[in-house]
Amino acid sequence: MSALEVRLARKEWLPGQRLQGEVIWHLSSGDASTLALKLLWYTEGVGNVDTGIVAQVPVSAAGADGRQTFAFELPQAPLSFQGGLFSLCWCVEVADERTKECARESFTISPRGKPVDLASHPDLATTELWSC
Amino acid sequence: MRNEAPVPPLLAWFVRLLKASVALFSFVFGATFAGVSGYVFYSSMLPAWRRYASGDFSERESVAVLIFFTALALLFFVAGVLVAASSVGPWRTPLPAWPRLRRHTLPSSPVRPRRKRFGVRKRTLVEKLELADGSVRYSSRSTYRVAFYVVAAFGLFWNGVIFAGVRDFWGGDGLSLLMLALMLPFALVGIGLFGAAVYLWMVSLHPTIEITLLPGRLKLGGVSELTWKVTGDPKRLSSVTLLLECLERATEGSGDDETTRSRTFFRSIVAEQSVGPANPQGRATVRAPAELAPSFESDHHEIAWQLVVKGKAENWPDLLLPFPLEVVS
Repeated sequence: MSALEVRLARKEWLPGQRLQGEVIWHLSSGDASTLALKLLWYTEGVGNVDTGIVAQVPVSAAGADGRQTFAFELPQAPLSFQGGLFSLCWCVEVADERTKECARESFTISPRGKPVDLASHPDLATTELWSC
Repeated sequence: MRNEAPVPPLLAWFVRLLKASVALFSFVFGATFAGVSGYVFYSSMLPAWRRYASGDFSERESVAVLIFFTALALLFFVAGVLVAASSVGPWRTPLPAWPRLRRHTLPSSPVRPRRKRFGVRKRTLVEKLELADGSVRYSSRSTYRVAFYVVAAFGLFWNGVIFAGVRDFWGGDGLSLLMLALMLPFALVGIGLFGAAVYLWMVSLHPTIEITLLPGRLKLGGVSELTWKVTGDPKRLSSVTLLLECLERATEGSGDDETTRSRTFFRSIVAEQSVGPANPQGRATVRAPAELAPSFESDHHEIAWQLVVKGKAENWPDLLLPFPLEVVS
């Protein structure tokens, strides 16, 4: 059983910033050439899960054990938000393409640090539209 | 995240009524099937078997044919009884919690690049034109007219079939009455289609609404200048209200099992004005709150912004038109 870990410099990022972190691995067999780092967003909640891989880089260091720093340029959109039906989340994933093991570390992209909160807004019924 | 809630009372009664109607229809259908099969067995098969038992079987009659039709009649009878019996229980089962929300997250396996989803793209009911000065013009032209043509054509076909069926089954005997009773739900759908076509025709006679937004892309926390114009006969509308809305949509399942839920979490009145031949147009400022999310669209999820135009009409159906907007961060 391998051990994979992703560590980020911090959990809250602004759009367009340079995300920095470190990937650590202890592989039971093989070396790090089968590891890949992905910057991705995904939806969580009601509805089929949608994902978007924004960037993907291979781990360049060799050896069954090791660590490597990485950096990704964050896009301007989509922003992290938490809705009443679904949320949009960001994470960095390190995956061993050979064993299909993976580890993720989530973070937020938002102008205010925290994810945009849509869930606290009440559900406005369509019937109210007719009374406007 | 929103929790599951019990079914709203009105919807619960509607669902129960619908289930009871389907159960009744199923029972009548099954009972008819069983009744006709039983009658055929009693009136034709049984005398033939009696003749066979008494040795009074003519040489023209074949035992194999008799066995085949007896088995067929009994099979139909059993099927009819089963259909009728199956209709008794299900409508009494309790309704599930509503909305039934299933939450999904990433699987534990590595994320792979997704293939492009080839599906039917959404069609907006308004025309959109991007102008050279950065503004965007939306027009509601032909919105309801196309819908009217589609519903009217389908309604004509549906009601034509129903009319032909009623004409064929019309008669004074019990079987005719039964067949007409079985056609009743389909006739009600036909009446509903006719009503929908009339409603769409009335709404299609409303004048066209044109909206121009400058800049065409609304920025969160920013403002856009909005001008609106009623083209056509403005006398039909007495007032126009413009609302800015933001909603989230999530789609689950695929194919026939695909369901979409939506939740409107922001609505504000942008403009409200009476309309007439002297004032068929107006101006307003649209402001998107900075604390909300920009437009987002993926295969199964969407954060959608829209301007909703609500036109009040005297003695005529009101107008309600959504104009999709693009809001950026």
